[in-house]
Amino acid sequence: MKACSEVLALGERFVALELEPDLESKVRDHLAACSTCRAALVATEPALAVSLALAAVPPDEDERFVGEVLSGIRQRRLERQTRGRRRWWLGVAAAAAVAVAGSTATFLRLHGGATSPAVVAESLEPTEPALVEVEGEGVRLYQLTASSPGGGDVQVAFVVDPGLEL
Amino acid sequence: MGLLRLLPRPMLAPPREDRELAAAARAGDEAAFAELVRRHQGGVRRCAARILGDDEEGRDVAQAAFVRAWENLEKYDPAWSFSTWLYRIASNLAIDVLRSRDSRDRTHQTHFRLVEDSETPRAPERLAEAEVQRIFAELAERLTPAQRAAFVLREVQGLSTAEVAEAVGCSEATVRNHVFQARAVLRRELARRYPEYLPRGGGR
Repeated sequence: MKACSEVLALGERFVALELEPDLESKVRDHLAACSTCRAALVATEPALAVSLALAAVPPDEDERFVGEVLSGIRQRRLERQTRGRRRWWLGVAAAAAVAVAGSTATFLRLHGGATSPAVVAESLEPTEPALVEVEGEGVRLYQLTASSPGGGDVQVAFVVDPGLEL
Repeated sequence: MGLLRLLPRPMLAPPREDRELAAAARAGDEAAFAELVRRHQGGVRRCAARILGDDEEGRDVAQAAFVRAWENLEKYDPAWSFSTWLYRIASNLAIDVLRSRDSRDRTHQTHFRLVEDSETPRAPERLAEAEVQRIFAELAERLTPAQRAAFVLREVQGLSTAEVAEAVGCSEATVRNHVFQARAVLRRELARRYPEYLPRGGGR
């Protein structure tokens, strides 16, 4: 902590941002406690009225904030892990989709291309989605077809989290 | 040049404890990182809140800054203080928020919220705090995001010019320029809107 005379002597350099950090820190400590010196410096630079007052406001600190940050970190870690697993599943899904499309195309070629997707679905009789195991977890394999014979020839295969219901 | 890079930077050297905690956190020690959060939350939250002119948003940005710091600990350069690095992350996030939001609407919302706060019964010193925060939030509307960040870090948080330059990612000359321009705007706006807060004689 410096004396008022010292602080006032350094005032011009303080306002001009020319003090060394250590010296400036001592001047700031003094200004935080001395309203006379504060008023003297504010008279030379009125904007200091705002900055010095803001600097004097004690920062909010609470343990709840620390807990929230740690929760945020864990949440992000979980998201990264889920994303990694999802990418792996997407690879499996793509492979399964290709396999289903290939086998369907072969089936259509062998049984006539004019057969409608609905008929194909009936031929396969997918009463329950197939359940396969991936990393020890069940994954359902769905095949969607047009609901009516004249409804188009779109076929889509999905592999989804068994926890989700279509 | 090479020799200069090897020289220590005594004025910018962080407390040893911070560096040790950061190293431990980098190795996955959550407790060490929690201690860093505990130690720096006040400054980082205040910095973000002042740049944004909104305490609640400042808290959210500070939280995001700490999470980002944890995820990027391997990029922390121990040549700089850990707090400077945190301020860099937090001020950049705050500037991003500032640039992406509708500043006019947000400022009005902030103004109303702080006015509401100041109308509830509180201790006199808290009233003064709310008042100065409200006035700054209102006046800072006239500052650019870079000016706000430089002013808050240099004038309110008391970081050195070199540290602010590192945090904001510009030269020291630019930091001074931002601070002087911010002061000029605040002087003008204070004189126009709150002359009662100016010293008698008007200062400059």
